[in-house]
Amino acid sequence: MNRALPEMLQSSDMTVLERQRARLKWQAEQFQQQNYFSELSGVFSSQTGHVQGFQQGCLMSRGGARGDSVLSDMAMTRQLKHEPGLETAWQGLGKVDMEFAPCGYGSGPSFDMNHAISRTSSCPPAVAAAAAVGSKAVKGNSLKMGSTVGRVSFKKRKVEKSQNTEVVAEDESKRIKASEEERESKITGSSTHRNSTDKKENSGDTSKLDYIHVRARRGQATDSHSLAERVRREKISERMKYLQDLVPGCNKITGKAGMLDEIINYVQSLQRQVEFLSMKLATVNPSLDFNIENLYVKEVLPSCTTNFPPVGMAPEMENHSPYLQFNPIQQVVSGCGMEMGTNSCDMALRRTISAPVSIPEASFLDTSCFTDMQQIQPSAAWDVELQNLYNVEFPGSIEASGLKMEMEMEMHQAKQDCFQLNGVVSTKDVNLLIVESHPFHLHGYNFFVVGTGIRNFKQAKGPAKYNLVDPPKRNMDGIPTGGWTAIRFRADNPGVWFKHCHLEVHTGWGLKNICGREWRRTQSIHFASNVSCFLYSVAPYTAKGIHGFL
Amino acid sequence: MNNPHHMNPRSLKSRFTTRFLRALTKIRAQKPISSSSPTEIFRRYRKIKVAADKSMAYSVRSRKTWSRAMLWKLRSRSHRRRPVKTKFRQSVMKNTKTTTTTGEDGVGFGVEASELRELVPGGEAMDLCNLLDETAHYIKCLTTQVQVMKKIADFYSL
Repeated sequence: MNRALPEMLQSSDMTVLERQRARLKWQAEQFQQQNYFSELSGVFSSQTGHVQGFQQGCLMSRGGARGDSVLSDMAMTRQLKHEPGLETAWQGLGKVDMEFAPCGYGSGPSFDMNHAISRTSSCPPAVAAAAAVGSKAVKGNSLKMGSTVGRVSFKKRKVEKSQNTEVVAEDESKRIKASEEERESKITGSSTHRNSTDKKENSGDTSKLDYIHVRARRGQATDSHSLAERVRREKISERMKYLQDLVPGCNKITGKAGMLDEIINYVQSLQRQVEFLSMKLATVNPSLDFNIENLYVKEVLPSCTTNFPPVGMAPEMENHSPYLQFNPIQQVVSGCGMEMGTNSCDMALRRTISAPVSIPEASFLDTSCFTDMQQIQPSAAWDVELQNLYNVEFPGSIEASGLKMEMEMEMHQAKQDCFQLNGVVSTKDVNLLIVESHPFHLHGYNFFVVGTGIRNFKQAKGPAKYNLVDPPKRNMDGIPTGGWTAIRFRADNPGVWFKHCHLEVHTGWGLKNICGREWRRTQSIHFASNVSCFLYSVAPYTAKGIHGFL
Repeated sequence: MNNPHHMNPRSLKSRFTTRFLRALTKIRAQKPISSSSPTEIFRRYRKIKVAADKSMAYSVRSRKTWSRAMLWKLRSRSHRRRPVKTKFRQSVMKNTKTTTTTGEDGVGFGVEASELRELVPGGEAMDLCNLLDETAHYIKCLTTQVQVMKKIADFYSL
């Protein structure tokens, strides 16, 4: 069957895609007839049955233009993934380097692989002899979809090393396979995008070595290190995509670093929620026995809605009913900030909980700003603090994480920071993933701007860069896009002070919170409800209207 | 409580729920609820948190590295007085592909990856690939945990 394809392929009239398709068909025929595993069959004998069962699985010969040049495409079907036995068999072929940049066809569910055999290929010559057409054996690793539309050039290949085999190699551990199965449904239809990104990624590779006859994509380095690198990068980007689906509200993020930030924040928020919930359970008095509730809870669980509403929902639940029509913008503006807000809340709370002795007295609900309380003067008894914490912040912080909002928490939705009398407050306002910078204005105080930065605030690195020598003193500061600003001030002005974005419309949308200088601890709980009412009534007003409110 | 949907008894959620409720009953049986002093509450909170983590880790068994690491941490904490056996730790390490974390990939994940490692239990000993896998599974388990605990808390606060 060698004759048909090479002639076809040599016709340069065909586009690459057509060539690929023709090759695919040809390979399918080829595969039916030949036993490709003459030498490798010693390893794969048990799995040939499975392998042959694949409809589209075949190793494509890309040796179009040059006849006996080698291919690097491999088409694999989905069923290939279900063969855990296969992967173990191919563990032995560890020497064969692979490169699995996606290559494939825009149509259909076939998975194509682009493989480059290194010169250190361990395929024995006998196997090559068994091949009908000069093509190389490759090991497919992960399954991806891509399109080969962009890939044009290929190099000549040594005939000895080439063979026509269908290999369903699984280099990785079974765990990866299992997770691939999970991801399989997610890796669909992104073929062209993936290919283009890969091309861009690979175009920056180093120049090819002349004497190495290895199938490689255009502009790619072909030594084993870069191939392995590429493999790794593919794997990592695959997992990042999966995580992107898992973490809510990060569909718009494209950068890896931003994605990682999101993941980190999400994991942190989840952990803090667990802490909060266990705190809640610790104080709850069960009226019924837990055992009896086993069944009940179990039955309740599946009926409850377990979907997390998008992060942007959170500000809406802040009973800003007049602003529900600003949904999309609100989501962008406050939602992401909300996520950050949770982290800050939780971070300080965690510090609070784990250090009962030096617990900061302040209790806060922060849903639109990232506030990090560092009380210089240690607070009083832990019990009062705990009371404050439990009653006041936790509900708010939990809700701010973007989880399902509960209506009974609304009264605790007040966004407030309570500072200790004459304590030095160091807060950090975060503006993440928002398309513009926000000028924040704090009433009642002039603060020092000690630091600023982009992306997530990192506890280790951020404070180190603080300017504590001559920070500017002002009462309004701009927070950079996707970044943070750290301010410090001494909370010596008792009262409830408004803090908001100075862009008027944003204030209406909810980008604000309250900083309260607490003068009597016992009032903190009432504080919350008062402030929530205050917020509710304030919402319709513009910033100008409430400048003199308090 | 007529519920037409019956939970899959083998699912992660149900496993975690049963374990967690069992642990909660044990904790409640230890001390009377009437004591509402903050120290007592704090101690109970601690126990509940540990119980939640333990239940989650046990529900996952040893299938995932993070669960193994978490179980090891919990066990070592409870056996603080005794000399810690290093064999378990080594077995935990062995099962994960350990690579150097500095400059391992050209993608520049450095700082965030190290943060992620701190968050995910057992993350220090993993390369980026496995770390992302573990993170995905960990996130899934955490969300389950939060859901279940939330339901329980809501039920009892009513």
